[in-house]
Amino acid sequence: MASHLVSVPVAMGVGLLVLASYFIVDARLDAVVNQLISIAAVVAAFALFLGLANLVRFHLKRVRTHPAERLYSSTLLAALAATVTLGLIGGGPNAQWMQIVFNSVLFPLQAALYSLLAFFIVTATYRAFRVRNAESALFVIFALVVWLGQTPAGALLWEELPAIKDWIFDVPVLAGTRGILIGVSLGTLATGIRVLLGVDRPYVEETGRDTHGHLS
Amino acid sequence: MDSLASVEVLRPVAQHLSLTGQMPLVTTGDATLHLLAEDQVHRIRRGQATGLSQAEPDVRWLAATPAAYAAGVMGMLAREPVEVNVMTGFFGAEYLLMGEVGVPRVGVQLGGASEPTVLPFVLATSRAALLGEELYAAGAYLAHKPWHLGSLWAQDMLRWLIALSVVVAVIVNTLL
Repeated sequence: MASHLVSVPVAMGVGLLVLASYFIVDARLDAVVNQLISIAAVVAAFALFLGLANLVRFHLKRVRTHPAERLYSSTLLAALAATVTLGLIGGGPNAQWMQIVFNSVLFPLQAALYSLLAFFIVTATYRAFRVRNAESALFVIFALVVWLGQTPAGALLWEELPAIKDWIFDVPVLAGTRGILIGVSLGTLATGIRVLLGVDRPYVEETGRDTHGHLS
Repeated sequence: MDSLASVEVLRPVAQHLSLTGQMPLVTTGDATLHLLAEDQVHRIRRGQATGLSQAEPDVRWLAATPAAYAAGVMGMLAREPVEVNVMTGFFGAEYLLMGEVGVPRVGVQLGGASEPTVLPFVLATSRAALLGEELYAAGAYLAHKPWHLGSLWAQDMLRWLIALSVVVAVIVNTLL
């Protein structure tokens, strides 16, 4: 595969240039980097078109071959066609009709979906509150203290509960979160370096590599 | 970066699955990631010479917004037979919506995320979870690539160094 002879140097070069612009103050470098970022935005927009094509192709196929799913797929395709038509005729995403679609259809649907979170948190908590070992027992104790510490009734039961709740948030929770964030930052750094050095190349064929994968 | 790390999870999973003549059903909520995922699974399918009839890869771009993507995944988990569900990448609160639908319906559910606020949702809905930096170590866990193992070792050393620096700074600050 000769494609990697072009794609790997291009990917590495562009990545290193964009990274360099964060550390080097130079107007010409900034101009080049801005141009590269614009090109990346155009490529991403084309990727969106391909994603849309994938969606339409899949649902058209399902309308033909899956009678049970026909209603859902037809509704999706009709809504897609109506929104695209409104956007093209109405004058883009800021047009009044598009704002009505967003404010009266999309946002209420999203709010309705996210409102389910309240019920799902209850079922997830119910499962998590089963004490199976010392770790889960500790989890339940901490959860109960935080729960009671958040409510006015907790302070009536024991006036120290809100202070203990604050300590849990300020010390163990904050320490754990910072530890996770440090680990994530190091992981991001390592992944970025591997991509910039061309070691991880998800965009090219890796002939003869990765033949011994192990699921554990 | 979470998405790139997730591709490192997809690759070995698809490779192992392809040995049985099957291919994974992959969904994405990002159009550029969709292209990358589609390329990965097609490449793995081409690279397998098992003599078995290989299933066609099924890679779907569901939606551009997190809520719509979650709704699509919830519908799939509720209606389609799924034996193993692996959810890794950059998620928000919608993770719990997808995970909770999967818990009673999916045989084995595995998850991974790096966002601290999402980690409780991952733990609550998965049999095994990649938490925080573990997501970035998935390539080393699953594929045992020398470069991945090397960078994992470097990460561990750097973490020890940071922890040691914090302890030394606390001692110095306390004594002076």
